[in-house]
Amino acid sequence: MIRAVLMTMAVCLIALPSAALAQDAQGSDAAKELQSLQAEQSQAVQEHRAKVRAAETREERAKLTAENPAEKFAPRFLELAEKYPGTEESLTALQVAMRARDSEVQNKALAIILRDHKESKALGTMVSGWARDASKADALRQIIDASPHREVKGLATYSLATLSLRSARNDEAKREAAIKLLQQAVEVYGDVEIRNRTIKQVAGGQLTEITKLQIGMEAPDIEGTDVDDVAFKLSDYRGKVVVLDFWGDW
Amino acid sequence: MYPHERSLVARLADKPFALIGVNSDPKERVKSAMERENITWRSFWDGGDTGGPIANSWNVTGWPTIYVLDHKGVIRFKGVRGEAMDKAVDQLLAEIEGDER
Repeated sequence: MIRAVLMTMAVCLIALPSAALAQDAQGSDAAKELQSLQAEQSQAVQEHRAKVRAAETREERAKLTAENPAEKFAPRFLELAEKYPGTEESLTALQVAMRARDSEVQNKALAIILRDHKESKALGTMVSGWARDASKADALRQIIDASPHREVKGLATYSLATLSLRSARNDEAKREAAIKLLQQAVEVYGDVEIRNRTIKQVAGGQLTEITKLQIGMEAPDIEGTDVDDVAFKLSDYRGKVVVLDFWGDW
Repeated sequence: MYPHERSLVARLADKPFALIGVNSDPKERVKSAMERENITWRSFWDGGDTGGPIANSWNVTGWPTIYVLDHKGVIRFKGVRGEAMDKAVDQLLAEIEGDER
């Protein structure tokens, strides 16, 4: 009896770490597979570049540059992501697959990101790249709702505001909704960094542009000094046609 | 850039027209540029770099940026360069004459 208990304990002691090991091993399998796929892709890209350089006729070169050697790897990145769902490696692979030209691959990758990785902090960079892509509006909304990270929420809000503004054109209601988003980006996520500036600076500037600097609006006054420290105002020139020229000697 | 603006300013010397700059260079650099290029028009000095308060409040992120205002101070054109700038200014000058008639 005692022996049996001891045996069981021994088995447990061995079994526990080995279960952990197995998980680690799976993690490292994913990492290894991802690494080798990335290596294979970058080799293909390099070989393709060498071929382009070696092309002898202009036609041959044009034909080669039209090819995208990375493209055929996209489905394989997607496969890898599906094999190791929820892992960091999976997300990396999905982000590569998102850059595919093939929209089917792209959509599948996006669906998996929204299913498994909505809460990832790594989404910030990706959502920043969606500001010109109207098809991403819904995905951005989902990420804004689900992400626990201010940074990701802020960047997604700014992207959604920008693309909403672009697609609103002359639709007043849509335009107002987009302006509200922009205000929200400034007020709630103003301190979040974006391209070496802050959302407050970037989105705040856009808000000013939209609300105060449109054609047909009265120009805001400028009060300042000239290079000899003499004070003057833009409105001193009322009654004259004014070309206002922001310039630098570079 | 400079030659075109110089000739615009010279051509419209006796018209109700002003070219106003907002300059983002350090002060010494602006002064030497004005001397070298014979720049006669006035500029606001925006603190010596591109992140100055005037550029910020006008959301200027690229240089040069051009706004053309009519005699009532209303923004009428943005981003016009070269011949388009001349045409814009001529059109707005014609509007003043129309108003006076």
